[in-house]
Amino acid sequence: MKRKSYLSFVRPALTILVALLFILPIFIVLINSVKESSQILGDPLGIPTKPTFQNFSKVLDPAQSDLLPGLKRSFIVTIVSALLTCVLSAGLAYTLARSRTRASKIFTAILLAGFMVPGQVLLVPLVEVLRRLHLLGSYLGLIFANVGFFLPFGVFVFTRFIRGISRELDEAAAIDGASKSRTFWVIIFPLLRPATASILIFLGVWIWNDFLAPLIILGPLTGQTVITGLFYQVSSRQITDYGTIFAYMIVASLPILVFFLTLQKQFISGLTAGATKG
Amino acid sequence: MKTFAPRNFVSRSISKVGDVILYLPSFLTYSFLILIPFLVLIISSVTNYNWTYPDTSFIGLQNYTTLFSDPEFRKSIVTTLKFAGIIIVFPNIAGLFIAVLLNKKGKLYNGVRTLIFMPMTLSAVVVSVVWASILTDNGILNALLSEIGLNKLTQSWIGSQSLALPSVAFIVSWQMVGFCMVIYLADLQSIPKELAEAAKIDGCTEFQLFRYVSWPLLAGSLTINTTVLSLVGLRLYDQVIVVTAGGPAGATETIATTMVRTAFQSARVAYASAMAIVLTVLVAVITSVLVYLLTKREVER
Repeated sequence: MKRKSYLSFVRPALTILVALLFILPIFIVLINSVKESSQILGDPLGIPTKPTFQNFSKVLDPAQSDLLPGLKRSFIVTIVSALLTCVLSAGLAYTLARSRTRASKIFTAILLAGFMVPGQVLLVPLVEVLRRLHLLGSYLGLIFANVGFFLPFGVFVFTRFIRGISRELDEAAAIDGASKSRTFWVIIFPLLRPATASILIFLGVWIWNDFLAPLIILGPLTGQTVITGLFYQVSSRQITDYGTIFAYMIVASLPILVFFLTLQKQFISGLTAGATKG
Repeated sequence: MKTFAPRNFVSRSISKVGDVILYLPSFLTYSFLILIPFLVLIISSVTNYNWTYPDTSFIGLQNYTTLFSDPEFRKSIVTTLKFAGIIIVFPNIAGLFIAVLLNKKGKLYNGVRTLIFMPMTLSAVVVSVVWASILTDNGILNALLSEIGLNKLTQSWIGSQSLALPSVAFIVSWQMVGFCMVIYLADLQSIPKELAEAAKIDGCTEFQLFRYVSWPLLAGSLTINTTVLSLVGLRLYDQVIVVTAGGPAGATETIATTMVRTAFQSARVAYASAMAIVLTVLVAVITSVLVYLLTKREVER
């Protein structure tokens, strides 16, 4: 049994080594967010003897930083876009999954092919459309764009779930005289809860973290989301002030990290179910 | 008896409207915001349309011929392919290694799994800013290297022509490892315990166990990871813009960064549309070929 004891030492050691590569960047951000800028450049890895929270008070002060207004904008854009996408794609998925017409098959194929088209590519003509609708530079425009971008994803996940639900349920409801929409909202939609949950989780993370679409659609004159705000901070000047940037970054990522850590199980199971059964 | 049947003409009409509302808004949103604009994109790629220049006319395939004789754009195709190559291979191997390493019960392994997956939930901008602060010339890595006496190893990680591309590819890979790990782990955990035990009783070493029992069962995960990574690599934009802004001297300029700059900074929409079409075709062809080859391999096994 000598070999076994040797192996049982190697595995935890390697695990810790790998973990270090992932802990280190997080550690660097955390310790340097409570240092003054002069300390960071001199001793980036040192643990601060006198931690200062002035970086945080600076970014949390609306007079000095756009972080808090940015958080509010990110929350509104993310929540409205995700809920809207979810509701719209559910109805569309139901109609497409239950319809046997040629048109619906073609439209499903188009939606799925749309997956392959890079987001940046769609952004070029989309900006043109939003400009003509006078929605460029507005949150409504960004929300519309998000719905368009992510609709295929919602339809894709919902369709596969709906196909797993017996048509007999629909037929029974139809015999009782229920309309399609009523059948869907009262009977089918409640059964889709796991799909709805994972769609909302993924959309929440994607839309919160989205960068190029809000950057281009909101433009420099409209208030930024936290992510584009971070980009403007690092791109507009030579970075000397890592302390405030790190503090900003921590607050901007906190909502999504809390969201992930509380829903971790659903998140991972949504990912693996979506991936491995496809 | 309670039924769902609408009682009169008015409520019947309302329920009809309800049926249409089920799909019409999403159909219209998608058509007007994505589908029709995409068709317009194809059309505008054969014009000289420009946001700052009002007269538009058809110029045939001229944008495409200009594009392919443009050395900068050709270079950006090569750069994109290099990025995609590293990003497909590196997280796949690292993710597989880590998945095998962490495929064990226990608090340590569970915790490290969460830790490695966490970057996936962060914005590419956040991850890029963190790594840029580490890799920049007077950044943390170089400070650390000179502190422990390895001055010779200090490099301009993101500021030199030769290292900028691998450095950015590393940052993307670092973020994507967690995704690959989760997908591989899901398959590894679905392998019945009895199978592994039987193989061990037959005298299989850990490596043989992996090679002949686990690896063939991971074919599906390999397909998924490779597909997702190729999409990430070929569309690469965010990390490049934040870390190097395409530099130094265009060394990390991808098709996506070139296209976005042409469209939104130079306002040469038609020319950018042609780039967009080239990128779309490239993504579609490479991804389809990869999926085809990998699923064929899955079936053969």
